[in-house]
Formats: sequence, C-alpha cells, structure tokens
Amino acid sequence: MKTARIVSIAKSDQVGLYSICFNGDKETEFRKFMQKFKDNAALNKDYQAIIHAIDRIIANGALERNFRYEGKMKDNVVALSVNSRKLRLYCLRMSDQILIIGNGGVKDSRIYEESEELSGYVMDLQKFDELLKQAQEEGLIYIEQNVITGIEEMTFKV
Amino acid sequence: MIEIYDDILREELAKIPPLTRQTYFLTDSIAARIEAIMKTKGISKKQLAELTHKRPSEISKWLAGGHNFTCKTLVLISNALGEDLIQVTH
Repeated sequence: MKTARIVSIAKSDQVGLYSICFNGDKETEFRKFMQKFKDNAALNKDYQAIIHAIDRIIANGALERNFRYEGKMKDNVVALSVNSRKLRLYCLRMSDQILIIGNGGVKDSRIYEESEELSGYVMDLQKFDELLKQAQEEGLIYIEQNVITGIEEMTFKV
Repeated sequence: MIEIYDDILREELAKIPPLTRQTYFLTDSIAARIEAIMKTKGISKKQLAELTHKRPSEISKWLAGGHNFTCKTLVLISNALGEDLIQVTH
C-alpha cells in the first residue's frame, strides 16, 4: 500500500497550491513533472504553456475556466486547459482558492484512459479526492480560503 | 504576497520573459471579460460557439486564458455577445 502526504508548494492571496508526495519521496508529483519536461526541447512550447498557466493561477486563482474536467462527474479531477496538444497536467481543483497539482505526461492517445501512465495519474487524484472528502467529513482537515488546515500533518494510505 | 516554496517552480516562473507575461495576463483579462458577459447575459459556451460558428472546444480555449486573440476574433466575439470587449484609449 502506498502512503502519501500533501505538501504546500506555493501561496498567494488568491490561491494555495499543493502537491502530493508518495512513500516518503522527497519530490512531489508536480516537481517530478517539471523535472521530466523542463529540458525537453521537443515539448518546450507545451511545457511553457503549462508554466504560464500556473503563473496566471497564482495571480488570479484556480478559476474553473482554467481547467477541463477529466475524471468522473462526481470528482474534482481536472486537467490544466492550455494550448497544448501534447502535454497534460492533472490536478485536483478543490475550489477557486485551493489547487492540488499532480503529475502528467505526453498525451499520445485520444483519451487518457488509453494511456496507462496518464490514467494512473488520474486514478491517484481520484483516490485522493475521496480521501480528502473523508478527512473533511471527519474534521481532520479544513479548507479555509487558500489554506488546507491540518493537511501537512496527515499521512494518507492510498 | 506570493510565496513559492518549490525551488524548481520558482526558477521556472523567473525564466518567463516580462513581455510574454504581460501578453498572457492581457489575454487572460480578455477571457475574464468574455466570461463575465456570458454570465450576465446567460450565454453558454455552446451558444457562443453557435453564435461565432466555432466549435465549443475553441470557446473553452478562449476562456482558459493565454489565447493570443486576433483583432478579427475579438470583433467576432464582441458582435456575438453584443458588447465591447476592449477599448482603445486616446
């Protein structure tokens, strides 16, 4: 069984950005994504579009129009909506002010379900969505504007 | 106040050229204006797609921010919504 923590990666007045750390990794999932693509010349334009979108989110919040829904109707799993045909970055959009950024990769199939790698990232976030809802219901964490109070002390069994 | 705790993200954001940043913040403001008019007038993405003879995915692209609108596209959207999107100041 995997364990995971949620780590704060950035904060502005508009939004709190978090990412996921599995099994005591030092690297968050979003950091792994950046490391994978930041020096990839062939995907540079697509990667830059994602970084620019993150910059806008830090300034303006995680607004619904910045994303497309990728999971199921009942969950909060989204992909960053950017002008990229090749790269996808998956996130959990909890509100306009809370975004948990996951991992992503090259989209070389029509739908993410056809890619083992991408569907793995989406499934991780779907699981996290359930765990976070449960933790909220149990009063272990609270979303207060741009902060998830109590989240950094928690370890989740995924 | 903005605090970035991940050093790679901080470096990546610092690399963005100011002109690029200014451009996509302007396009994002246009997207916000389009969305606000749509909400006020109760126009859905599907309806705007029909009014502009575009696919709904194109409307999503406009609204996501960062889209480099041409003047022609701005006029097209403005006409479809019946509102000015931008004004030229003297």
